[in-house]
Amino acid sequence: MIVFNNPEFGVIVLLVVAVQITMFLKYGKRYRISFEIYNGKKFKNPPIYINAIYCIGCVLMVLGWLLIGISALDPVKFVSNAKKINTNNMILYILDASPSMSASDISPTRFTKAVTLIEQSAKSSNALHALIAFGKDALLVCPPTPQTDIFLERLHAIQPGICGDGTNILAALKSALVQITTTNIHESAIVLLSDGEDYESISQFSALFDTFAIQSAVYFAAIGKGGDIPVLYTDPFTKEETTGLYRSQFNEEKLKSALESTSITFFVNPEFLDISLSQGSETHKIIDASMEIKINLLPFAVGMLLVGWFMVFGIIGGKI
Amino acid sequence: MYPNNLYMLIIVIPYILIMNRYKKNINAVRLFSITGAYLQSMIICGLLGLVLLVIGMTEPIVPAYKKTTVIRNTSIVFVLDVSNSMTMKGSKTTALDDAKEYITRLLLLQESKQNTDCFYSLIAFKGKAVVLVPAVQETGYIIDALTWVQPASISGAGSALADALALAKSAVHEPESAVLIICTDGNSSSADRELIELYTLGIETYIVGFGSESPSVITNSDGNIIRDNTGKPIQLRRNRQQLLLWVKKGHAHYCDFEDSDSFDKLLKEILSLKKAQGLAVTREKPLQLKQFIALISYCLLAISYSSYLLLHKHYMEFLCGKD
Repeated sequence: MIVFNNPEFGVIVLLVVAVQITMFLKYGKRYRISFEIYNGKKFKNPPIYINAIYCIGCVLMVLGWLLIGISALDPVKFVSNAKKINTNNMILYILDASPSMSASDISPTRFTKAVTLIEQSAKSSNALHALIAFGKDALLVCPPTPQTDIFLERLHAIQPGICGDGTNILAALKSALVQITTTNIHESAIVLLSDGEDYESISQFSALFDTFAIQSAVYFAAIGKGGDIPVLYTDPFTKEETTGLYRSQFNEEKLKSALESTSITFFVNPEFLDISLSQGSETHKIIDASMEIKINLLPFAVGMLLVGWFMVFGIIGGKI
Repeated sequence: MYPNNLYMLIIVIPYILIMNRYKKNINAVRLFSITGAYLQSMIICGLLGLVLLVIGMTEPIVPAYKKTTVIRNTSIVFVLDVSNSMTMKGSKTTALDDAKEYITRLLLLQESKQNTDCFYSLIAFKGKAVVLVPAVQETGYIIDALTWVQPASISGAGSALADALALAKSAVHEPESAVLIICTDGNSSSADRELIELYTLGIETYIVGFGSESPSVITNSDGNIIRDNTGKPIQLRRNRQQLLLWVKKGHAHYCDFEDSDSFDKLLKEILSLKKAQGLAVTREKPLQLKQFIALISYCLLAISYSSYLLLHKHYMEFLCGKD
């Protein structure tokens, strides 16, 4: 999306264009004559290449001139889907980066699917985003930030196994709750994306929520299927590859019943994360500035204008 | 602000030569008496338009233009030099430790005095620049990152200040409500262009100089003393001359880390910005003239083309009359 920082100049630019078109229709189009002057010599029927140079030159001059007008409007391009961020809302994603997430029962892998879901959600939501990755240990990868590009950069830096061999959902959730209590953000949601192969931790969720007494909405997106699954795991530190069949402990019913006593919203292999947060007032919204790129049209416009001018006046000698 | 682009004014010479030849061609068909005024207007407006375009490409600014803006989404961005040169002797241990202590003190003091929401970011640079902490509303994340960041945290040698400033720009939401604090010893490659850009955007930049006044040895990420080709230890000190040059070019403010007055001034600036959140404040900020110049040039070129069309009309009338 391109927006103009000086839209008020647009009135002048359009007015001048209208005047020029009127003048061209009145004085420029009525006569069809051949070139009279070419490098000081008169001739009535110029060759085609002279006509071509003249036409291209004129087009370049007009385009260059129009671009100068547009550059006066100070155009700015918003990369991808730039948006207003509500600084009163936060979504804290907890991403399971345990080696079991390399399983390919969900195409292409559980981990890639989880990353895609987070990416989609972060791009479409207007809240601050934070990310905790966990395996054996939990790691705050990105604190709550309105800078979506940095958030996504860090999200893509995570690999299965980077937080150690193991799945400790409880440690990750505890870390998330600590983050939420230390921030002044009014409304927050915790989104846990995991294959859920840590039933012991899950059974302790209720007690944990009682301890922290937090009003955040919690979502659990379970990713995986049961059975024997082919897996290709690359150790992020040694780069050693392990392939083979992995017996998944994923059990949808068991997960559902473990989460029944909590107020957690449960999804199984969702296509998108449906997270609802209030929109908040305009005063709490900021533009995600990292998405803004200034478009410097002026040098390009001047270049076009000069080339066009040289073709018409320098080579042809000006049509009259 | 980019005076180097003025070399393009040389284009005026071929313009005058070519348009002069064009003028002679018109004279050759004895038209000048009829169309002289239009021809002059066309050439002069074209020339003025061209000169203005070249001036516009230098991106000139009015340095102290009083502008009223609503202060919102205040950003405080710290750019920390973690290059090997920052291992030089500081007040107690190293210059880097002094810089960390300076930032922590500033953060804690400003928070204790004015607890309004504000965005803080921390960018570290060495051979490349890295966003250690993206824009966050809690100072704790910054203080936490300061405890662990070391020269070894970023691979590769060098001092990519320019890249760090480019990252800093993206961490700012409202340039006119932002303060950028660069903590360095001045032994970095030049970043004039980026500093000028930050200034033209309206970001207040403070450069804080760290390091000892007298030369001291520096160490690499492994803690070994860095030596030159002859085996002699490289000794560096705070490059105040370079820092002051950057300050001048980027219209920034300079502080020595041990100068308590400049620390108070910086703290006051942050506090006043935080206090003014949501209020319309009149401050002296640079005004970019590029867009205004482009618009004037656009109009002048339009006049030039109008003159050309009128010239065309009179020429045709002359031809028709002759026929």
